[in-house]
Amino acid sequence: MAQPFGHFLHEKEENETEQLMFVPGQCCKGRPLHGVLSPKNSLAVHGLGDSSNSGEPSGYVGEVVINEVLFRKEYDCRVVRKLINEMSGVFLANQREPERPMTVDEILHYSRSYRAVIKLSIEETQRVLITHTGEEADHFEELMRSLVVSESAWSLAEIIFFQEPRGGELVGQLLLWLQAHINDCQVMLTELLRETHVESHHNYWPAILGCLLQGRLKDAVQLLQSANSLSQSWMNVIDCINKMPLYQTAYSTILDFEMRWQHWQEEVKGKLDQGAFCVKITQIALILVGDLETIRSTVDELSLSWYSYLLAVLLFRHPTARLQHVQDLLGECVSQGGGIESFDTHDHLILSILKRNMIDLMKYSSEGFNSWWFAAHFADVFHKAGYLHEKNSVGTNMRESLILDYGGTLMQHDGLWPVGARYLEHCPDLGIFHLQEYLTRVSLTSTKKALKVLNVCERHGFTQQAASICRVMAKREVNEDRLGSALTWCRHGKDGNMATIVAERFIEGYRQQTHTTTDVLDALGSTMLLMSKNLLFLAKLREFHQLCDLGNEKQACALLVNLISSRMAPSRYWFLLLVELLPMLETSRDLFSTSQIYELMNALCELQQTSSGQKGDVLDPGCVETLQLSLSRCLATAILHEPQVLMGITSE
Amino acid sequence: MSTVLSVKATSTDHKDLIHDVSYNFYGDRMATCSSDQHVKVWERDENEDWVVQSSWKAHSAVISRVIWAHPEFGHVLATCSFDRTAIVWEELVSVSAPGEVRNQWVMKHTFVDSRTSVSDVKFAPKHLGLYLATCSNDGTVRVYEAQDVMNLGLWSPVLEINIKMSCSSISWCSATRLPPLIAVGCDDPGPSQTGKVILYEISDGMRKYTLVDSVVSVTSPVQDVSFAPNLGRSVNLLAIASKDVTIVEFKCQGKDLANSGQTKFDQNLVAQFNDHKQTVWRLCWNVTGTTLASTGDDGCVRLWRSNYLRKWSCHSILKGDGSLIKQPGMETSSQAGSSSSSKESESRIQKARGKKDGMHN
Repeated sequence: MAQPFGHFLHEKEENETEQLMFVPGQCCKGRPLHGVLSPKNSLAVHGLGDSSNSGEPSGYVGEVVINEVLFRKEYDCRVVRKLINEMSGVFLANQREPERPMTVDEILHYSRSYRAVIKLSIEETQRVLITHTGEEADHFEELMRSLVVSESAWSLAEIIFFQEPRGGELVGQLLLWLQAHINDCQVMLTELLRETHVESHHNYWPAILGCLLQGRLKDAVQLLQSANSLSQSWMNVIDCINKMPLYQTAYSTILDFEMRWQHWQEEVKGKLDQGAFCVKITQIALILVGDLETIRSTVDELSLSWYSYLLAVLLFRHPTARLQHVQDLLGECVSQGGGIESFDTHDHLILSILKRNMIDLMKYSSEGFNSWWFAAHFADVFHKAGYLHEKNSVGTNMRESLILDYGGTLMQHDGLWPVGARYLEHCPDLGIFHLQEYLTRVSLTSTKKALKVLNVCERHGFTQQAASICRVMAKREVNEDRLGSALTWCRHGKDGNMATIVAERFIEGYRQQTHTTTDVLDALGSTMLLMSKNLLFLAKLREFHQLCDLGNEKQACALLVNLISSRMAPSRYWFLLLVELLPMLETSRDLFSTSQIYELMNALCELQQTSSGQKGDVLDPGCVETLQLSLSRCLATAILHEPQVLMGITSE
Repeated sequence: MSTVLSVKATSTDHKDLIHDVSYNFYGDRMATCSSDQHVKVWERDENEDWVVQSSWKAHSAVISRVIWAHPEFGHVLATCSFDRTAIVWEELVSVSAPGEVRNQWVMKHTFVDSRTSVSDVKFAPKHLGLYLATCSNDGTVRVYEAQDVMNLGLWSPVLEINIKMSCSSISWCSATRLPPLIAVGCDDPGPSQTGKVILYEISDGMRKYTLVDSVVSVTSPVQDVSFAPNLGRSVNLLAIASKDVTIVEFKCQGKDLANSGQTKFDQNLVAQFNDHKQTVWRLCWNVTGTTLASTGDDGCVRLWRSNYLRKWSCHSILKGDGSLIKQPGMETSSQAGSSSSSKESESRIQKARGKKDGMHN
């Protein structure tokens, strides 16, 4: 979603419109546009075929195109990724388990940490913007706007919601905010001071007036003093400006200050009436005495925003105003600025903050931006400060709702999912469910990645999801005939069913001599406990091979005979085991006792009897004959070595 | 603030319109099916562009739907068509030499029971096992079971539901704590007592079905139904595409012991929107069931979301602008309508771009 979804609380107003976006490209005019949401932050869009015409070809001629809208393309940008990572660092450092409210200092520290990150990002984006052009530059410009606007709103919110300066200090704080964020006049000042004939530059008066309206008194004075000819009138006004009292709590009470300030304004007014100022300077003097008309016209002249106007009015008419008073002035300032219809996101944010309207503030934080990163973190700070705790009918609050969305978009990105997971972990109501779902959707492009995802699952005790991931990996390995690896995944996922399936496939391959045995058998060994009991005999088979390798052939044979006679293995596997013994039977060495041979012959007989009625496992007659022959020869040899048996036979 | 929309165009080389697109579970592969009777499977290359991995003639008539199975069952697709069949396909990977991997999609099983066009095919949620449901224009819903998950050639029918109305779509409810539940959407224009969306509960080892509820208020033909993924919610949301977009909430109220133990539901209309003003054809939920995309005859895709107070509204409209794309596979961008940025912050940006600041903002 290029535009994040509103998390606003109030009823949608009539004049609100949804974001309309055009998807470029031939989307098959005349056909409905089919949209399919993907698990990876995108939407595939195409012209939908007509299913009402009984399946006849539509006769459509032309290119058939799928347009994929990429919602979070910015996540591929290095600057944005850095921002995301830094913000997540701040977020995680400030989550407390269990939740406890933060002190004012902690909140301010938290808030400022975010702002510091944004400022760094602004600098970085500035550097990058210079080197990019065209479309990429558009993306960076948009990022820049989000950063600048969000930092401005954030710092104002800090003043109004968290710092809450008392009466007289408010205007001073607001002025600092304005000066930090709207610094065109300072830019002009720097340029101007390099000029020789300052006062003839077209920016001269705009710069002076701009600085004045923002309370940059020293700058205004500096510009005035840099004029080549300083008439008396100029000296007068410079004097007035220098004498302007500025409120500082440490030095006086409000009452004291107000008296001094009134006195000063009267002084300036007096000089005005006396005609101590020439025409050009009069404007400045009028501003100093707080003449509303002049302030208004100057604001218009300089095309300043409504909040610049507000602050000018405060500075020169109500320097000790409290927030209530500021709020009373808002209506007038807004209409002076062109009315609310002309507002952009930044304006709305500033207005909501000054009005202390949480609802509007959250609404514009999420709607006006191309990314949720602002709204989610902003909401978290407010939440920690004790706001936004109301829960909806399913028990979530707005802060969680925003963080779930933001974390969700991160989880859908191949590189950022670990960051997203951390966010979801801090959503106490629904975070777990979303995390479970998203974890299973992370593309398992390599074993390393799968293990990483499994690690997170295990950390949270998500056994079902872990088992599912292991099964997917096991299935992949089976499909590509890597049975040993498949079994490793089965063991990891404690997946008995899959292990059984793999084992059976192994046995199938073993019979057809298409598998090398050892590595799979070893892997089998460790998964033995998971599998169907029918396959436990494979452990014995492995042991048999191990004994053979060690040269313990007699013991190995005894083992296998035991296995067959105990009927531990299902009958369909006996043949396999008998065939295993064939090489042993063929040797002339004394490896079997007569009773053992009898057991084997018995088993072979049973097999022959039962297999005739069964489909599938047809015994190879040539093989059977070979076995019978070998068994007989072996029996003969064994009898010769066992005198009592020989005696038993010959005595009959 | 204006938004820059990133769009990636892919020229599909289908010879006729596409009827369905389905992303796989991870979103890294895509399947398309078309009136040209072909299915194409796509993957992303190093530049994140879609490239076709396989393309084949899958049916002998228009293919109406395509869907991926859960990756636990491997790489499996199902398609259904006007040729009265539904087919299960599996990808076979053969390694002829190290590094040389060949992929081929193979037909594993064809379901030929339907006597009319098969309008929808959906795999059941994986916690039930490997099951498939189809619905046809003659009003029959069939459920099949895979007898061996390692051999997808063996399927057996387990259930057949005869609805007296032509069916257009089905949706399985994914809630793990409920017995299996299917919603059926009927595009029959005639009158009906039950309404055009009916819910069936399946029990007894997937052998028995019971009609547990229906949306009586939806009487116009339904083109699509879709259960939202249920993540931590105690209710199940069903989206219905008919002459408008309707979202209905079903809350399980336990078992009705007087009525053969079937589950009782509390039904609630959550939202109804006729913004499209015309027939709504398709619906699609996102992975967490928090966003719904709808397709209407007005040529728009609308994205719906609920705010944290669970009030649903439309947040974006996407419209094709009918322009020709520059080049297939190239990214293009489109400006959204909407407000301009703050005058003063604009200047900061201009400064950043190295332009000289004007005399005023």
